Amino acid sequence: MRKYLIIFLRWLGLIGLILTTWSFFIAISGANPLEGFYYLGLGAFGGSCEILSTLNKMVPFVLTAFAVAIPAWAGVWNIGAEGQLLLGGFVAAVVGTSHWLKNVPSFVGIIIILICAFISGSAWALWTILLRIYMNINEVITTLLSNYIADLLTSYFVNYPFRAPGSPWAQTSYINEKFIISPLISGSEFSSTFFIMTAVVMLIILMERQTILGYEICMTGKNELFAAQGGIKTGFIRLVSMIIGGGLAGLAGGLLVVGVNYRFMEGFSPGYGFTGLLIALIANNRSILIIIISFIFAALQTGSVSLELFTDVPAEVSGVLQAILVLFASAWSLLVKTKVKPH
Amino acid sequence: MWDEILGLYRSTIRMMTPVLLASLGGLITFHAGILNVAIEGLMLIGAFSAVCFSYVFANAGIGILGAVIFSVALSILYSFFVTTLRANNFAIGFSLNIFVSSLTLYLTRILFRGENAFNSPNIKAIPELSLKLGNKFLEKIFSGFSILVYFSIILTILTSYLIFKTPFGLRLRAVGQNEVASKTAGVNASMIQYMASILCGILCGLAGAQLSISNVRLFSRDMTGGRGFIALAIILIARGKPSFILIMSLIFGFLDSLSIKLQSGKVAPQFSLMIPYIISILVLMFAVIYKHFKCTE
Repeated sequence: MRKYLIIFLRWLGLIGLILTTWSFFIAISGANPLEGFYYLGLGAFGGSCEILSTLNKMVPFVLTAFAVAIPAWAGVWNIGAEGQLLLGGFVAAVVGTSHWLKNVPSFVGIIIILICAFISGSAWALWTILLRIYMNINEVITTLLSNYIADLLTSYFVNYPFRAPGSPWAQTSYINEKFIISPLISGSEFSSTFFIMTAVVMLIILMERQTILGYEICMTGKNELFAAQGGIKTGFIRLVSMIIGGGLAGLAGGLLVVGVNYRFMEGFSPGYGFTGLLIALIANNRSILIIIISFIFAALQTGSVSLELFTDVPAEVSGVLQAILVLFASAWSLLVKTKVKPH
Repeated sequence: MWDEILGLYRSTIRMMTPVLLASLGGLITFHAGILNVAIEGLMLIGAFSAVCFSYVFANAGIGILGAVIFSVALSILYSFFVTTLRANNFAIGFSLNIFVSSLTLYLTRILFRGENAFNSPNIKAIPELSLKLGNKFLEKIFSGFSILVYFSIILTILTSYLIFKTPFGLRLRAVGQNEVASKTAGVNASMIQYMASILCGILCGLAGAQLSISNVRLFSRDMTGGRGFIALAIILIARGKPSFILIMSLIFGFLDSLSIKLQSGKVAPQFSLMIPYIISILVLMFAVIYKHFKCTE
């Protein structure tokens, strides 16, 4: 009984600390924190439309978080989800606008677009992991720098060769109407992209828990030497994990194009890749936690929009709140861990 | 032609300084066994607080001081996680980077009502030092840079001395090479790591101040633009040698100013801006190939 009380008090302490710090950061913009929390909650869960919008916002978060987590299971860091997402989105927009998909039925077309997005994300992750495997160059640095290169590359493409004719902004033209996954309910952004994401996540969890590949990926990450001794080709497994990871980030970009923006433009991603990184970090790369935390992050994101609407707090506050959540949660989990196993 | 070369040279020196300062900071923690990915965030908060303080107090000195204070505060937080709580340094580093990136954007919006950037004529720039050398040519080459530029060259020598010639440096490297052994020998390893991190904070704060209030006098969203990560690549390429760091920073300063120069030309600006990132990856590859050949000889 006492044990449960302690656990309960710990959780209470953590949540209390996070909420206090959040109030502080909302208060420095001059707003009343309680009012702020009210509008945050209202914007995220105020009605069925809001809840559905929050669920839809989860799509890029969950996919980019898995893009970081799956390579992490194999012991490699993928900080390049942002760049992979940008390339995936760009390629999806290019394929979606192209002429040779004109006579393809919409269902097949969407699948082709998403596969192309997946492949381009993988391809962008591929060179970083090859450098790691064959030349032992730290993948943290290469994936990091690859974000900036991908950002500039896609910016060049939408500014010059693929710019929509006559458009004042740097953006491609809209994708073919047939391939748009439109919202299911008017008034909210919720669309079938959410179900695509759910199916993909189910496949990932199935792969992790039930297949040989999943086992080999996790073994490589847990103990590389042991895995190699057991006959696992660790280099190859890392390559595969990175290809899957990069592909998921690319797929996130593709889903954003067919489900939200219907085109690719400069500044396409407000940092989805980095939010995914935060989610994977806070969830410690565990699948179920990733889904739960993505939901919380998505709620903060949609809530902050209504916060800006009704109070003076700018919507950028969501990034600050998310980062605070990550810092406190990781400190808390480490403190608890050291309590249990003293060194 | 001659003027162009001189202009390129002067902007090279200006661009070199933030990267040099940041990589010196990272170098100190590198020798203490921490690959500090938070450099980017430390620089960014330095750049932001330099603009804030310089604007409020109308004094560049206080701007620099503010940059250093906030950068040090953040690096203490970083050390608390990495050294005291034994968190993964990549995880905490990236969380702090994202935290700083969104915090500075948020504060720009609520303090200055700016969208993505803030500039004002009230921001005082770091004064430039004009040396009297008696010779026009020498003056053109050595005179008229911001004080931090000269300071950074001195700091390179000081850092090198600190790491390789002082008792503190010896302990620092001992902790970096084998933490358990140095603990057994009676070195307070976590103290050393905290000190290293604080020194890194000071240097990154200076780097941020040089970035935001030396020539441009503005803060814009994510204005460090990956320079912290390039500094990280420099540290890895230089394998901890300060003289290499100076050379590599010069090269990256040159590439940076070249990419700005090329923007006005026929090349699309995106490609010229890409140069520093691509070159740093190529240099990392080259370093590996070079080492490989050296070993097989």
